[in-house]
Amino acid sequence: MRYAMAIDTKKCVGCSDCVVACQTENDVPIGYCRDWVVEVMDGTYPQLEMEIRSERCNHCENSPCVRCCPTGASHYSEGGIVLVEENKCIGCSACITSCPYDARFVHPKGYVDKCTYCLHRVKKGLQPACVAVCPTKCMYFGDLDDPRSEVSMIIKKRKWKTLIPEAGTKPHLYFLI
Amino acid sequence: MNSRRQFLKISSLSAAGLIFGGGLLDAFANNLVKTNPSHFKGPFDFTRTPTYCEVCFWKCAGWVYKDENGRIKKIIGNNDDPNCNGRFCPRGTGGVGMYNDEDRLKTPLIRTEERGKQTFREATWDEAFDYIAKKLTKVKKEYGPESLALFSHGSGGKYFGKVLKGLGSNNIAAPSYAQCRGPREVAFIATYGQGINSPENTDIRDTKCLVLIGSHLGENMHNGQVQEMSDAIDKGATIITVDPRFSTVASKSKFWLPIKPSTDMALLLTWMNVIINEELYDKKYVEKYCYGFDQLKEHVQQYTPEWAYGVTSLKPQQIRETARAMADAAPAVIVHPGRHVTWYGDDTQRLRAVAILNALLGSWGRRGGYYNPEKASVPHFEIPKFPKPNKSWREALGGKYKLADLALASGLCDASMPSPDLGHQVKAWIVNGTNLINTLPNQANTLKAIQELDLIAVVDTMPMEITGYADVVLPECTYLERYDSLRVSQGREPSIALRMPAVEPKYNTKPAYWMARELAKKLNLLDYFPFENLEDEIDWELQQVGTSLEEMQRIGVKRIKREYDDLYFAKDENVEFNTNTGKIELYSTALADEGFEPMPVFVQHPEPQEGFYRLIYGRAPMHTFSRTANNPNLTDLMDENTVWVNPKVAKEWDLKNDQYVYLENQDGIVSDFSIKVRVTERIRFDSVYMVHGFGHTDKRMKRCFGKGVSDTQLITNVMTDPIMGGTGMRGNFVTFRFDNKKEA
Amino acid sequence: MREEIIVSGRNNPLIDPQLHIWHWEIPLYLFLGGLAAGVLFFAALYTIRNRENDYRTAVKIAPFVAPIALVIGLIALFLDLHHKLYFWRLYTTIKLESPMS
Repeated sequence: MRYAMAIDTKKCVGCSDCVVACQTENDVPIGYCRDWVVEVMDGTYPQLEMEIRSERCNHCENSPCVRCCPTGASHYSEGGIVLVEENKCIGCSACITSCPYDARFVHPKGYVDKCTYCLHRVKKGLQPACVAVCPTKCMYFGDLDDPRSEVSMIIKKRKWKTLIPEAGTKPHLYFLI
Repeated sequence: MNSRRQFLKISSLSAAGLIFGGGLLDAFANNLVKTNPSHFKGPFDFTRTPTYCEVCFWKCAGWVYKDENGRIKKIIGNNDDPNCNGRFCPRGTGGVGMYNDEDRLKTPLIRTEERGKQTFREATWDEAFDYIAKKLTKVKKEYGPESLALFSHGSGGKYFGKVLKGLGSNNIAAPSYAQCRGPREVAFIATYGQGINSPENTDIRDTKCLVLIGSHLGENMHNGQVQEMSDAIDKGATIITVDPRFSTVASKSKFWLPIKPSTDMALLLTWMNVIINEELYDKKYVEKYCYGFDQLKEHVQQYTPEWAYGVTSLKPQQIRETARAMADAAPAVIVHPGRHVTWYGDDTQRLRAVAILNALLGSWGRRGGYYNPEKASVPHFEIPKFPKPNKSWREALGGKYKLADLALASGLCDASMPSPDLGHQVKAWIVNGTNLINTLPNQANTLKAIQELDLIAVVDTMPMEITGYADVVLPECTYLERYDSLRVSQGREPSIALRMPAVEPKYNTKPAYWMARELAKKLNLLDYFPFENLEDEIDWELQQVGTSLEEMQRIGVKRIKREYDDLYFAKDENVEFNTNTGKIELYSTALADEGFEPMPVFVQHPEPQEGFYRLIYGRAPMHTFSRTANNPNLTDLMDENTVWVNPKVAKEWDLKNDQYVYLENQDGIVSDFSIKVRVTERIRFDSVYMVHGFGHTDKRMKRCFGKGVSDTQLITNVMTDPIMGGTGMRGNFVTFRFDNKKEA
Repeated sequence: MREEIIVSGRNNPLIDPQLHIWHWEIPLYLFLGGLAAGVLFFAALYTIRNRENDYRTAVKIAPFVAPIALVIGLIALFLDLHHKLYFWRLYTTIKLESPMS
């Protein structure tokens, strides 16, 4: 079982609903965010083009954060989802330096926090909070090992890219372009 | 000292021992310390209550979830609701912030004078209602009931409206009319015999071509429309965006027409020219349903693409291409009417052009164009008839704007100042849930009007600027803490939604219904409020339509079957439109009767002078103007607006990205605060853009005070629409300053 | 021109700017650690080469600096941790691939 998420940049309007929904679902304190929205624009007026992406932890298969965690707090869990165990984390910030996507942050309580693909919802058969709330329905989540899941079918159909592929992290977050 | 070998042995043993023992300790500790891996944060079995959102007019229905301590945790959409389909927008999801905001109004306040300075003192509800009731009675006796006015934007307006009507006044205005969608309503009523209203009846999910002229869908988060646009993109619809700025939707469009600001009318008339001359219009539809085609054909001959090139700076080839693309997709094409259309003073005529274009393409009443909306009919509990007002708001405006179908907020504001043109003067305001200081353009005018009043009572949840000018401030609890009347909104199928409180009102706040009823008690108008509790009235209404409060509390939204199966026009159906001629009026007889142009005419609008740039404003998807400016969840996303400046302009003025500047407009008004510069290619060199709703001056709102600039402050040149009084706000130009000292 | 911005706000000084994750504690610890190592190295070197009497300070007195420096360094390291009460976890796990371990 390998969980992955695909986000359609052609439909995303950058409304940041995913950020607020994640905040209310996961009790992320005000001032912090587990995911964020990036807008990239290229060109000169009036020949312009723009891409909008919602970024978060990519739950990499070969993640540098799990490798460099000294206490094993950062670990692979069900379906390849990378999680942080609060009681093992010492807050040394090694994982924050090693993440090429800047996905982690230090929670005010002291441990390191990041997107968890809402495992508590996925276990109940629901989708992660961001996927469930997106008004443009541009986010897809599912099991890559299941050929009939939404994610498997959409990445077969559409062109996609991952971020910073040269880092060799094998991320599980695909951006449909 | 021991021999070296022994020393080493002991130390290596102890090192091994440490590791081994450490592992044991680890395992031991794991059992001791409660394992709380960070991903198990619930959901436990939450209790949920239904509500519908109050953050904007779309009123999506949803569920409020509480955690095990009974605190509001999150708000998500109701899957049965046709307005949102189970997905809330960022402002709706951030509604929890409205409840948690510690800067909320907490208790009633009355203006008093202490040691020569005016200040607010805390008062009891009884005191506050006494004050208001006494003043209202006094004003009514001295000046007549027509001198009382209500400005409302929100659910509470209904109840205060009953109080005002009971007193004999019908001066009830919402700023969303003359400051926002008014011209659109009048234009479509003149053409099709019915307005658009809310939510808009655009059939975006089935359209093949969506033309957005003056709409930045995606940045204005009209939930249902954004969802349907996403569906349309999936189905491969063509989007044509006409915008001087490279908006979000422009980046998703097949055609982006970077039009010169203020020349949209020229483009619309030119499109009509191309579509009529190349015979791309829907001949059968026009012949069967439209009146005035021959006059229109003759009228648009002068508006050729070559002429339009000089006016709009759009290439003739582009204009022809897009016109053909629209006609190709007809009748599944929508020329979107937008919503905030008060731009240059000729807005009713521009919206008439939009309506005419839709008629030529045959999209009104067809799938993929405009559907026929239906609203559930929920009977109301019978109350005694209101006294007929001696004078209406129309007389307050001196008999102008006969074609306006709703009262004008700006008109009533103007009517509060003594003037020889007026029928009578308005002397008392009740303001419910609208921050008039940031809503009405020309702030100086609004402030002058306020000074002339005998009474101004403000009902609000947050200490917005308008509360600073009030005589009495009544703190309302948020939509999460109260019952409100049923939401009966129009749509493809009628639906009703229930709002019930999730938690008790915080601090000393109360719902608007309770306030209006208590006020009615003091004014002897209790006959109009027969139910003590709003939930009893809601239950009565629900019983009339075959359900009950108890059922609605379980399901939240009830969809009702359409009474008439007329979502779209049937083939060859004979349709009668509610116009003078009974047909779609391409040539408007109603406008001609009042002495206005029966067909839209292009008018050149003033351009900025050297060194000045046109101020264009818009929305951000994470905010609803001032209403959410202090919301902690939403200020996390965006806490200030930025001014978009073209790189060529930035070079001229030596502006760098993230620099702070002040803005000065053509009338010498300088912005109170500075605004961050965003140097971007996305805006034309002759304009600057900013998001509306920032630049707050009330210190009590700690998160948004002093952040960004209020574009309302810089809108002093108001171009009034002669047909219905809409206040055009895009005729203001600004320049940059590096200090805000006003020249003596 | 190319414009890449974060639209949803990220008021988190712990991530942005990203190069500023560790503060003064880490350089202090590294410096003191290196100092202690250097002192002990030279003390050992002179002892092995039987020159301890020529460099009495280096061999007999200087090594006392080493534990003091290490203790201060470790205190600095401890202060840098955000989840301080769980510092003992560092000593109960070995992860070969982690530079921190």
